[in-house]
Amino acid sequence: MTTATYLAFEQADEAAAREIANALDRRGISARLAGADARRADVPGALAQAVSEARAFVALLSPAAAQSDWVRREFMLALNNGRAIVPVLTADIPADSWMNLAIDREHFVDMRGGPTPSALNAVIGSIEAAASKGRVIAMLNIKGGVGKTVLAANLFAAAHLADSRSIAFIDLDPQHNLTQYFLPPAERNRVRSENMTIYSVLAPRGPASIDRSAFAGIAAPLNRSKGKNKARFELIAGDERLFEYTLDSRSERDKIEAFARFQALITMLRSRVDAVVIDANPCATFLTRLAISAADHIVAPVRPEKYSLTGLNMLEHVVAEIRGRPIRPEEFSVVLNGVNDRVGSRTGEDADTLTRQEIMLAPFFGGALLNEAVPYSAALKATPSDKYAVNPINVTAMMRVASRQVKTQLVGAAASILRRAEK
Amino acid sequence: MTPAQKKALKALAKSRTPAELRGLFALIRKESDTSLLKALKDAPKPKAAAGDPLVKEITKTLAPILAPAAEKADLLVEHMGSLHKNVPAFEPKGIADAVKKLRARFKDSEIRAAAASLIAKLKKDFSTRETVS
Repeated sequence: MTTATYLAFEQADEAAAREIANALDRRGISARLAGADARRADVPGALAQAVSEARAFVALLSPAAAQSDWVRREFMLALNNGRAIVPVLTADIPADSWMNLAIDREHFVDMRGGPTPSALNAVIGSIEAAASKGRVIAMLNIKGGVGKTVLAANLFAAAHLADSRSIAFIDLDPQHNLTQYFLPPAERNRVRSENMTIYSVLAPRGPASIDRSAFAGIAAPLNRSKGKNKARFELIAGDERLFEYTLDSRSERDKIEAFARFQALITMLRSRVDAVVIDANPCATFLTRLAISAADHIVAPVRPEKYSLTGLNMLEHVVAEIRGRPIRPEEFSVVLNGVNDRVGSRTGEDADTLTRQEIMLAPFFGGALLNEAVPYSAALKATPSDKYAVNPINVTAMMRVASRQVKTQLVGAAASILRRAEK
Repeated sequence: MTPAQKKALKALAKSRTPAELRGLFALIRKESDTSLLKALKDAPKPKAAAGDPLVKEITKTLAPILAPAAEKADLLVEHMGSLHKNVPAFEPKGIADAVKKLRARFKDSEIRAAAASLIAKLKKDFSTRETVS
């Protein structure tokens, strides 16, 4: 296995960094040492490019690194580009350092005794584990109402039911429609009152905050079938208190800690599922930043209408801004929601075909458009209100809609998205 | 005899012994065309056996549950376990299977009551009705 790794360090830790690089090389893992070629103030985006090209990011933490602007920038770029971060402690860091807020101290590799074989093996093990972990997929469009939530639920239910893929959803939208899609009101109230929502993950303190050790147990299972399918299908529910992070009523310190806690949740979920699917809110807020920072791949549903396309263009700018570098089409899958749905098109032309052509000719998103058609989300959404879904997966089209065409489209599109995300 | 007639005759003779054929020819000579044609018509299909009325009733009661029949039946068995002692643990294939196995231990009225109380419980816990505060 070859996994490109970026090593961020300061001069005081150079010997340890070279030992790690040599150990990685012996294991067949290529390593790039932080140096003058990437740390170029005169070339904007050069550092972001170097960090984002690596699959894993190793940060050597020491008092010198804590003082270094370069290490801090590299660390933030790794966070914002969703890189798997392996913190390696080479010396005790000051208590008031930013590193204490941003790093999950329970999961660092202790190299304070020098680059011993066991410490080097621990670094290699962390990198290899990071490389084999599940992918993080964010459902995003700056425009609302394009079908993010309904398509997220149905596409990945199809991947779970047809291909036994294990899926964890995170509802990162204050409107928490994905939570409402799967859980009835009584169940939603229960998870909220028991501090089992994403709000409790983000909250660094206060009565709703939970300890990081409790993250593994907060997901609500969405597939309660007995012994039929062992793969996980679960939801980290959302609730309306997430508005605190969109209204900017949370302090900067709270946000930094929320960022680190969210990363810890993502790391835990990646280790146990094939895909972590984040249903993000429309607009560009702190929550959008969390989703984009963690995502390996972004799925952008688009409706055949101009405002939806404008939202797609804005998304490109938002992602580039957060990641601090030019982005690539293969980091996206654009899903045209409503193909062959001509309701509302009064022009006499096929609005869907026109939209598809428009996107395909676009210089950036042309390469991101998914060939597979998906069923129109409005048709998937029609869950009967007089029914009780004890097993939440039963509300999805794969369990409820009899049409073979709908199911085939969902399975095909989901498989295609996962293939793109896993490249 | 034309080739088509020979072909029809061969089709009739297929997999029959000469003795069986002789009997058949004699029958055709004896009976009228009407009675022979009537006998060739398919016998009317027997009416489907009337289903178990309790199964029908339970199926109707559990209709509001959004789930395959096997899951509904499993919920019913699980619910019976919460209402009564010594309910045998089994995973039913469907509602008919659940009713059949539950009957070995319970009266029809008890199964009927359990289905109704299951729906009442689900209505409380899983109603999708949203409220506005």
